[in-house]
Amino acid sequence: MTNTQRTLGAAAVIPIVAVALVVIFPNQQAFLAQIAITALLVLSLDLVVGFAGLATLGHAAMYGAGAYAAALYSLHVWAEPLTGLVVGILAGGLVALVSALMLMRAHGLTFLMMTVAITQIIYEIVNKSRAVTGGDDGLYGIMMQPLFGRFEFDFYGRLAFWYAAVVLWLVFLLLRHIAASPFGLTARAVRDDGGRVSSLGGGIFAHRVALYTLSGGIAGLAGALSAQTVQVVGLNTLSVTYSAEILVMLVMGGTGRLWGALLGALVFMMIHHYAAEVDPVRWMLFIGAMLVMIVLFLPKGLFGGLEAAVNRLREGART
Amino acid sequence: MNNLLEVRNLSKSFGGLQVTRNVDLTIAPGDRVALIGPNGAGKTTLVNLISGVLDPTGGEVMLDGSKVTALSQRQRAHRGLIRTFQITRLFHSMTVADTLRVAAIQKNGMTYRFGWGGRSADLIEKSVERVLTDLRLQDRRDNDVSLLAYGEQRLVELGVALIMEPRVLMLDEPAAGVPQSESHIIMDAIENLPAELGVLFIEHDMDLVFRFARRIIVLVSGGVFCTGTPDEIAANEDVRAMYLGEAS
Amino acid sequence: MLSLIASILIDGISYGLVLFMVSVGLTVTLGLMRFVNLAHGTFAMVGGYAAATFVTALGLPYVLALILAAAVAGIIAFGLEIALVRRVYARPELDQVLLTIGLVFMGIALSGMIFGNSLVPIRLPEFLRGSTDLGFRSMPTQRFVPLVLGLLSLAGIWLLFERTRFGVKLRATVDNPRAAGELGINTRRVYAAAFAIGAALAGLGGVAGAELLPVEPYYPLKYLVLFLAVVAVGGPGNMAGSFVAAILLGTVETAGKYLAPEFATIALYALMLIVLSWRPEGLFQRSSKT
Ligand SMILES: Nc1ncnc2c1ncn2[C@@H]1O[C@H](COP(=O)(O)OP(=O)(O)OP(=O)(O)O)[C@@H](O)[C@H]1O
Ligand SMILES: [Mg+2]
Repeated sequence: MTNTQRTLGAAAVIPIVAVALVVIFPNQQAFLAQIAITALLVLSLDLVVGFAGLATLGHAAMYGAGAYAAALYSLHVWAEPLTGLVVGILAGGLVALVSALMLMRAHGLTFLMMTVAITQIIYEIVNKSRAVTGGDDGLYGIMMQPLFGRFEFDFYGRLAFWYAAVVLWLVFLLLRHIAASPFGLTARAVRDDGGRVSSLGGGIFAHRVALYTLSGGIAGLAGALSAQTVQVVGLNTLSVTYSAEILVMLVMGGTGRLWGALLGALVFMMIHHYAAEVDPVRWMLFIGAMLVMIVLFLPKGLFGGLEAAVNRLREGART
Repeated sequence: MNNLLEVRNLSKSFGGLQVTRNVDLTIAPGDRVALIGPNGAGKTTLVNLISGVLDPTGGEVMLDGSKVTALSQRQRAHRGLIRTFQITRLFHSMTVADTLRVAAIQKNGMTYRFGWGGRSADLIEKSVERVLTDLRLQDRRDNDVSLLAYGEQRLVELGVALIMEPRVLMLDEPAAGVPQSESHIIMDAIENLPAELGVLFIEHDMDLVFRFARRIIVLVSGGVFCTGTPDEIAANEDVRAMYLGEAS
Repeated sequence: MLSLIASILIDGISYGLVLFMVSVGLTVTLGLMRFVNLAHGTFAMVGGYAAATFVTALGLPYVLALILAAAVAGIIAFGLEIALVRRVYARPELDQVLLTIGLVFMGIALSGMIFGNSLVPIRLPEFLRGSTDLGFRSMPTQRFVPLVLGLLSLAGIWLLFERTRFGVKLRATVDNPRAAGELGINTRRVYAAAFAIGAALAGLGGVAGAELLPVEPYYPLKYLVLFLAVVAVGGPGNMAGSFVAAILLGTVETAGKYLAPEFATIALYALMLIVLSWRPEGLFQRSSKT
């Protein structure tokens, strides 16, 4: 396969899967929109976990910031969706930038703890600012204007799904491009051995801040999409628990490859949808056991496992 | 000729342990200086101090006549002060070509480019190709560095430094761990270094030292024990007794 | 005013000692064994549930139940170490984080299934009920339990590390596992034992602190940050540092609750954030240059 073929093939995956999902689950488009938005968020998390090699329990801070900002913007300023997305990106990026200035000299446990602290502080501030954010009631009654001034958001989430899927697709293509760029290559180098990059004159602090901000902007974008399509924003979008949940999705799919983020979000959301309603306690047991199993037996996640299986089949076919 | 690098009265202690004692040394363009001394003499520490990995407890490092003691490793690298590591430090998830590209990206200040277009990208590819050819690593271009033989990893380590087009190059035991059959590639690479480059290299193999060095500094217990031309050092009874005897 | 300060100090210190007991094992696993264990709070919860069961269901005396609860936590930890944890010592930090988050989730689910979702009280013996008059105020008598046990643990840990062969072996092992192995130290067993002892202390802390940190299924997640904060602020591996950090964080949170209950949580996290951005290696470690 040539590079161009591979790029085109990769670009076709999301549209094909989106159409397939709509065909298989015709009456569940609101749920499918949720999957697309979650996949976008997990994708942004992969930039921190997979590309920067940092375990974070605070990614929801940027997602929630984007969600609240977009919700407030549509309630008080303008209910136009696309500018709302920009507001979400800016909010998520800003939170990421400010926290990165504190975070990016730390690593390991210290980093993890600081992500938790920042998220908890933002959570508490939002919780206490009832007048603006609605406190633990959250913000509701978000009514968006038609997309491009023409397409109404429908009750069944049809537009919401395509809207989210297209944004996901564009961001995925953008990130694939960035991953292969000098910036992306440097990110991997910093992850592998930051000190070595400094010895070559690279500024690892600034680079990590930039990467974290990019990731935060995308998380904020996902938050804005969620606010616009679900029309409710609650405190849970800002929680450490939610941060842990998306980390589970990413790891389930496989880190550092972007594909894993998509696969993990899809599989997790599907299982969750059908299992959690049965019994939340058993769901938690299941997730815990899955995590343990994946770490022990499938360290590269589902995507890594699939890839290995495909490679083995190919080898088998060749011999 | 003016000195490229000048080290004055450099000292370093870890807690109560003094590992660098009032070291003075200079490197001029074209110099080939060997730094020798028994294990634990403080050779690597000296390189760490000069390159900015460690902060000295006393003394100065000057580059082109200006003090760089307060500058970070990164800023010193930008001024052309580049070192390799005694234990290879490569980017373990990368191929050989990507590892070299990373160095070239830092060298050309392209860290914040989000695409490969443009002339500077061509520049990067050219310099990567040049180093691959010089080190006879063309066949290894797309291999993962972590899967290479150790000798080849040492070559890549050297290649990363060469891509940076340094003015002062510090090599920490470039041939250590490289099998005899491959060590000539490293020698050739060192032999063919640009003439105007100032080189400081640490080496235990005396054949190599006497082949390349035009000046030798003997470090013992963190301090400069003596310095001189290879002939002077070879003739120095104390060094022979203390170091050369032990090494042979 | 004076009595307010005294109140904050007394409550803060006894709270801090609970934090210390639960976290000190974590500082060993995290700092010395280099294993990022987010599931450590689970052992405190196990201790709490075990003690409650021993006292209520089996009618054992409180003090005996306390000791048995610590043993139960230690034994479960020992089993987990052998079955799961030792497989990931050499793996990247992220894998350790994930494995132990998995254990946290399983612990929450299992305790919810076994003990239900409400708080489980540990019935106190006669001599610990009621309150004691301190002159300027009265204090629940049971709050002396963490004070006494916390100081005993501190002394015990010091003795264990500095005065026993196990302490020597552990230090040798974390210093240089290979050399320790060559000296005939069974490094795997040393690690397993250290892990189990840390868990047993957490179990003890879980029982002693049940008044302040009530036993419930979400315990390991709810207080996770608190325990990790003690270790991070004190400097991983630094037991004296953990002690000071535990007292400090305990007092700050208590002060927050007395003075500005609305903002106690924010104050705690803000303090942690400031300390960690200022000294990423913890308050008491010299910062190293990278
Ligand atoms: N970070 C450190 N902390 C404490 N002591 C250190 C540190 N780094 C090096 N040392 C000590 O400093 C001394 C010099 O070490 P160094 O690595 O510079 O020696 P070297 O001459 O390069 O030896 P070798 O030939 O084995 O490479 C040794 O005794 C070493 O143990
Ligand atoms: Mg050395």
